[in-house]
Amino acid sequence: MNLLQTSLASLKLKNPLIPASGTFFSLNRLPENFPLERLGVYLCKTITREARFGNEQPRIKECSSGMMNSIGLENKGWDDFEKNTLPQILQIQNSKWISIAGSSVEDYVFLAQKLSSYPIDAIEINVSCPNIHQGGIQFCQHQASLKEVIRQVRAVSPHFLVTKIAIETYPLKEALKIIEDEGSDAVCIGNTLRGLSIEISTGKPTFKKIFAGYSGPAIKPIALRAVYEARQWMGAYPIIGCGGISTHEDVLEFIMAGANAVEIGTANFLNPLAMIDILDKLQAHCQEKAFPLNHFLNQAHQEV
Amino acid sequence: MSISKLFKAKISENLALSSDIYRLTLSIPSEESLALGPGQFVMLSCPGPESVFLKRPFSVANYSNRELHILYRILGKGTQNLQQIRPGQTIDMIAPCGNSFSLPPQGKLLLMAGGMGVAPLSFLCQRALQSQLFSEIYFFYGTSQNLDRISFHFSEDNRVHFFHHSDYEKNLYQGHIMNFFEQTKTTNDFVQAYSCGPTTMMQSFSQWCTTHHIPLQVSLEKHMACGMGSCYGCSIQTRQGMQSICHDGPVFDHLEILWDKV
Repeated sequence: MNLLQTSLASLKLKNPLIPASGTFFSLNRLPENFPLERLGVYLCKTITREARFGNEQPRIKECSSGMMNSIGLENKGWDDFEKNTLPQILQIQNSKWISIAGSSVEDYVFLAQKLSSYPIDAIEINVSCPNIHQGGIQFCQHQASLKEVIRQVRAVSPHFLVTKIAIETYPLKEALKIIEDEGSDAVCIGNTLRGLSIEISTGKPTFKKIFAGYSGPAIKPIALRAVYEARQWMGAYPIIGCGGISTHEDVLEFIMAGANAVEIGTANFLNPLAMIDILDKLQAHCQEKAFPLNHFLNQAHQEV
Repeated sequence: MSISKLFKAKISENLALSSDIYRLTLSIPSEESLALGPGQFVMLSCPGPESVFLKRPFSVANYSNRELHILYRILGKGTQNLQQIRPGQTIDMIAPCGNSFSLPPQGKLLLMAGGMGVAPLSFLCQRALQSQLFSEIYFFYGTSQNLDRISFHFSEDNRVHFFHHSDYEKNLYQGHIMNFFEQTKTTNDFVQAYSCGPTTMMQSFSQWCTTHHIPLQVSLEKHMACGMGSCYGCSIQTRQGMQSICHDGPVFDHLEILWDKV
């Protein structure tokens, strides 16, 4: 019996671990002996309509209990993706998820429409990107933008939609309501936290784009709090937790806080087999407790 | 390409070669197999009193009989921790990472190293000598360090013409290793050149190789989080488009490099 299976409403997953977009091997870089079949979901690095070179160096800086990144969604754009990457993704046996992002609502709609005829299992809408038509504010931080992007993607896409928001999205409750009301099938909370690093030797910000995404174990309690709050407000709505998850204990905490599934990000950089290790330990934990993983869902909300 | 694996590597020696350069010797557990070529690197956790989160990339300076050498210079928290590691301790290592230098079938080789860039070229020199296919290797090495306590396995081998230029020994030579190299007036009949070191040095050497029609392989580095091609932290623009130093490199044909983008 598979003790780890879970579901996001109608979408069944053989286990709750999802590689966070941009932190896991692309299929053409996947080492040949990586046990890909163990992962419930394969989620690709975010694609955009046009190719992006990404940000200038430096792109990585270590900081206390984590790291900062300023990659800038480097990718070769839709045309290259459709020709070279998507065919590879369609061949794998995992649940196939595609992460999309854009600078305008039209970019997201373009990608969702293009994907609509392909047999993928879900689209993750990365709304942590700046909306160039609203002065560069992140889509998730601007309610009208968030509403518009989900509404219009929903209108053209037959796929299961996951909206991935920043942990700092404010007010979180209103954003979650928009996400549910406009037809997104699930929400992922969250993404990297916006941070800053300054080079003492020059007095200048480390990164050319000034602010960068902070990830790693330090952000886990913040993401966990957001998932817990979201579960209080959202009934049984599918929630994916993401932020600093490094161990199977972290996964259990997120499930107890109300996450139906989790994304693993920075931990993949420290150990390419991090998700496999976590799965083994989750399996052992469930066997020892003689409960399926779902037994622990929402446990932190139950009255004693 | 097979997976870069996470190993528990045991430290067998941590030897000071100068006031701030060390050679770390790590042994691979007997039940594990690991193949490593010159140019490849490993990602090492650097446990210790300083808070260090990410692993650090280090070029392999030698690898034989399950023993691996890396050279490091104390520059930041990671290497400060490494300095305090004692024989018998184990540290996490991801290996192998990246691609290798390739050797031609035969002919005269030219190696140009700067600073810690001597590590992968030293390994390359060793492998070239072991192959018995190369009877003449010119090895230039520039450094700002006192070299008194650094000895190289090949310095006694009469197939290797080893030239080291130390800024430390100001009375001997002044200036850049490239100036020194041009002053030595070597012949230009090399079949393959290799370089690793400061970008400005590799760029000058690249120009020299272009002028003299000598193929050149260079090894690059950037900050990276994973060392396995997942994070895109070490991407650079090249004539082949965006390339990840950890996955597509670190060894590149110098003609692919856009030096003003490195």
